[in-house]
Amino acid sequence: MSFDGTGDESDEALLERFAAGDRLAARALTMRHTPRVLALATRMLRDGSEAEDVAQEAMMRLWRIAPDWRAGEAKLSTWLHRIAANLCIDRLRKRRDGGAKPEEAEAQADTSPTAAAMLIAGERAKAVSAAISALPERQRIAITLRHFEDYSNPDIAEALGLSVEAVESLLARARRTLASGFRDERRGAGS
Amino acid sequence: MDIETFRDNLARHGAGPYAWPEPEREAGRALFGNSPEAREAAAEMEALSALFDEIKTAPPAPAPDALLARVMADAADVQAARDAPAAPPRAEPSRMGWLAFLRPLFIGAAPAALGLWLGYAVLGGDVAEAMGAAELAQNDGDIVVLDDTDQDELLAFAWPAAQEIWE
Repeated sequence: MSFDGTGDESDEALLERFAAGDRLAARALTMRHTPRVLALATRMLRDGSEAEDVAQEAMMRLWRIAPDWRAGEAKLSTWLHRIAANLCIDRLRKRRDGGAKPEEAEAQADTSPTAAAMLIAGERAKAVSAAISALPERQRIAITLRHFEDYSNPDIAEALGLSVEAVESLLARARRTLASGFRDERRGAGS
Repeated sequence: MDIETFRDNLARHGAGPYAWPEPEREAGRALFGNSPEAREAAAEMEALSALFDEIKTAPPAPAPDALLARVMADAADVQAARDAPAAPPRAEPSRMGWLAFLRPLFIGAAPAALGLWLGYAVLGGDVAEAMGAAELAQNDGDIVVLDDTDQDELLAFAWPAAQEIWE
């Protein structure tokens, strides 16, 4: 229950109120969606500063599209996360175009390996989040989109510019790595 | 089926054998029944799927206050821009803008053209037009208009001879 009367209101209703000039609606949408968008961007980019920029840009696009939003055509959270995911993929491409190899980007990000894990409550989930964060870039993106953003394999293939078979292969390698790390962790805990 | 192929199928298709391709399914079931390692691998993949769900549904950490403030400031800016009265439409730039340096010439030429026109229309033009249809002849100092048009109109243009004026 919120004191501003926006707690139970649907995203679409809030967006409509925002488009009509209601600032409380903007606040409610900000508080409701920015953390999850930030978590997605952090998981994909492994860079807190860049992730904040992406979250801000994604929300800005929401503000701009508000008057033209067609209720019922798309779920607002899905639309917002797709925007954020695409912004992240663009940034990762620019990193590569700028000469940074994915491995180098990962090595830099490894200086704060628990950034993504800190977003999640629960020790096991933290451990898996950290393991996802340590995956090679494409595997990490594929796993994030498939398991946390409900992308289909063809959707991932389109977003990353890969074949569906290549995406399946990325996902399989990532899952094997994660399962292996999970096995090692359990053995370590058991010994 | 060996354990590596079994693990690969688990990673591609998940822990439930019903999701595996038909040709792999029976061999996978057989290995699952006979191999503790295969059962352990399947259990790991099931646990991993459950962790994915846990991560997905876990509440995210709060976003930094500074970020929230920036996002809300953006929202206010967008609202303010939308609420602002529409600016008057800007005059379209002239397509002859590159001729702007000739403007002083046009300004100077306009009065000159007006003067020429007036001179022609009021003094020379009308007289010449009126007289153009006439045939002028001079007779003892008088200018006589010989025409078959109305004489009253033409009278004004029958100038007296200079000698009559002085007389």
